[in-house]
Amino acid sequence: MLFDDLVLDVNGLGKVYSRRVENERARLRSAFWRVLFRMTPRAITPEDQGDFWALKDISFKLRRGDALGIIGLNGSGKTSLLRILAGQVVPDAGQMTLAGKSAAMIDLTAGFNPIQSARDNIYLRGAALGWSRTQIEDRFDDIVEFSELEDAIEAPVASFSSGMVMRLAFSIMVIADPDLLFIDEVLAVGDFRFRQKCLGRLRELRRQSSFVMVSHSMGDIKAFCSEVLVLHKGRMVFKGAPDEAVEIYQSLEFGEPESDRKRIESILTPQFENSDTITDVRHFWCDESGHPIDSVTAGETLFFKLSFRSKIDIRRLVIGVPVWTEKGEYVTGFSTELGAESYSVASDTSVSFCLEVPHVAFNEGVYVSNIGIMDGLEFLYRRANVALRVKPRHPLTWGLVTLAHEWRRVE
Amino acid sequence: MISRNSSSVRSNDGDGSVGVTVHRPENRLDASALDALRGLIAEVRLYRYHVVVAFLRDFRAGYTGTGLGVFWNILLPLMPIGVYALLATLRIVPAFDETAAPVAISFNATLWFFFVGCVQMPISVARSRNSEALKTAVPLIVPIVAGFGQLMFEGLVRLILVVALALILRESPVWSSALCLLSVVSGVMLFFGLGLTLAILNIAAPDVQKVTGPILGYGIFLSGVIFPLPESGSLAILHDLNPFAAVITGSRLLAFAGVESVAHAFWVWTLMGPLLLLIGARVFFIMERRIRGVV
Repeated sequence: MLFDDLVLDVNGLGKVYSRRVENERARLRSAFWRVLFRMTPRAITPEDQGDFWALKDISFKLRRGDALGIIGLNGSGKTSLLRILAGQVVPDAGQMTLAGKSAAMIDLTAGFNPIQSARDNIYLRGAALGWSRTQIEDRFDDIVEFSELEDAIEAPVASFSSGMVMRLAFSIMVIADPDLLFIDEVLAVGDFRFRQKCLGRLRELRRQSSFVMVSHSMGDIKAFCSEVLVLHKGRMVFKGAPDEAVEIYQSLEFGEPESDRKRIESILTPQFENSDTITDVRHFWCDESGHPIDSVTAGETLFFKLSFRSKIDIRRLVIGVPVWTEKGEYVTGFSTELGAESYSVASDTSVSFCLEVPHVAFNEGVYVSNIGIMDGLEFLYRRANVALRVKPRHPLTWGLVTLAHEWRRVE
Repeated sequence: MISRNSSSVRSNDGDGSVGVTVHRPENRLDASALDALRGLIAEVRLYRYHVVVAFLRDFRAGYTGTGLGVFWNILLPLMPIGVYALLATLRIVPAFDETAAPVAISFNATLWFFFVGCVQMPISVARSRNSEALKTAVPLIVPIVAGFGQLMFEGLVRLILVVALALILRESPVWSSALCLLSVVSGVMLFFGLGLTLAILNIAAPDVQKVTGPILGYGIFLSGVIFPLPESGSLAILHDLNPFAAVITGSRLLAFAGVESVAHAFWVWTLMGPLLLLIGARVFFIMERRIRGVV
């Protein structure tokens, strides 16, 4: 049998959308007349200006108990794919076959009537899922119990907070027992405790159901999905293990190497210089003798020098050097705020400061940083420092830093 | 349950069966008119409780918060019929045939509102629920049938008034009155089929609703509902070409005058009813999922 344990078979799925509604309508008109006169509508291809493949060549299989995650940037076609899978729209290419009952959690509150009570809305939503009155009555108590809305069940939904509405809507969906559940970004339901309850329920459901889940939460994707599909501009760019997929997604999110530079720039900006307050600013990483450097070996002592001439009285000088990895992870900061001494600078005075960082704990990599000079809360100067390359002392390191530590055997 | 490849009706009915559903661009394209009608009926059957719930929701929405409550749902449909019947009683509008004018005019108006609703309701429901259907996956035929329930209720309320007037004015039905029911059913098929077709066309060309609105709004004056259509002159052609005029007049004559007085055009339009329903059902069935999301 074709669907022994296969619940979903997607083969070369594609969908054309138009950026211009007039194109969409023209296509519909053409299809309408052809259907009316019993002719086959023309195959849809994005040959018209403004049309494009919102999804193309999407293929995958899903077995019973599997959970497939779909991730991708906004506009990559995730929700469109889910809507096709849920049978809400017809694909323009390819084929999709599913076995068993399916339910879609794409817009949880769709079909709710706010002026009616939560009780009436359970019946309304249940009916929209194709349940009979008996089926709804059988599930009613479970829905109310799961939603924890026993006290508000007779109140109009309009009087509910958005969290309560989502709880009610989510409870209706998870009480159903579909063979295949399509979930679109709806796991952020209610408060932390209720969210954990929802996640627990989904885990239970996984014993009997399969999932296709769209999410921007990489934590949920990693926790729930056995396989992840990465969509980019309507194309499937990766299908495989969650960890690898998340890495690819993040590389899409943060862009290609060329745009890495832009990302770092965005971290280090805004750059700022007020020459009416301080001038002749010099700052650089250096060695003990004060020579500028752009690399250091982990574990050595690192120095940073700053000098400037102040044109004003600086009553509370604050100097800060925040440090990021080249991927944009915020590592640490060195600030005069942490020192025991506070500084002030008189007008028309040149001053120099030296920062000493003993035993550099950073692991191998390139680190970018800023220098910020402030008078209290007012920025006088903010510029990027030269990127610092940290060379490894030991071949084995983990994470971003290696802190001084020692293992001892205790008898 | 194994559904055909051309169909995407799913086994959501909780009957424990495992259906296989295939979605592809050609879905439903090979459906015959009868397949389409069966498919639509299957969808309504699957969501039958939703039809009931949606009908009750809309029915209650009509009077919620009002002082007279549910009586509004009875009074409002009766108002236009009552006014026309009053005008006929006061002889402000001319009489029809041999039938008492208030009975004839209320009968005409009852059928007119019912048939016009059959055309307009699918158009407006398809437009207003198209986006929601994309989110809930409820087939569009389901809210349309729920709306049809409202039409049926209003029609029934008006019919009771017609019967009451007939009893008061001692207007006795003839043997062919039984056929009148068949002609009304055929009229519903004719206009509902037209409504389903136009509902789809209206999504592709929104001008449709702009055109049908005024035509059906003012068409009452050219359909022999309030005033009899002229027997001669250029407007006499409406007796045959205007389906509303042909079906309404024919049904009234069947009810109160006898089968021999019914015009040929009535029979032609009546026979076209099932045909138009099949055409409309096929167009709607094939196109319904293709219009989703187009607003």
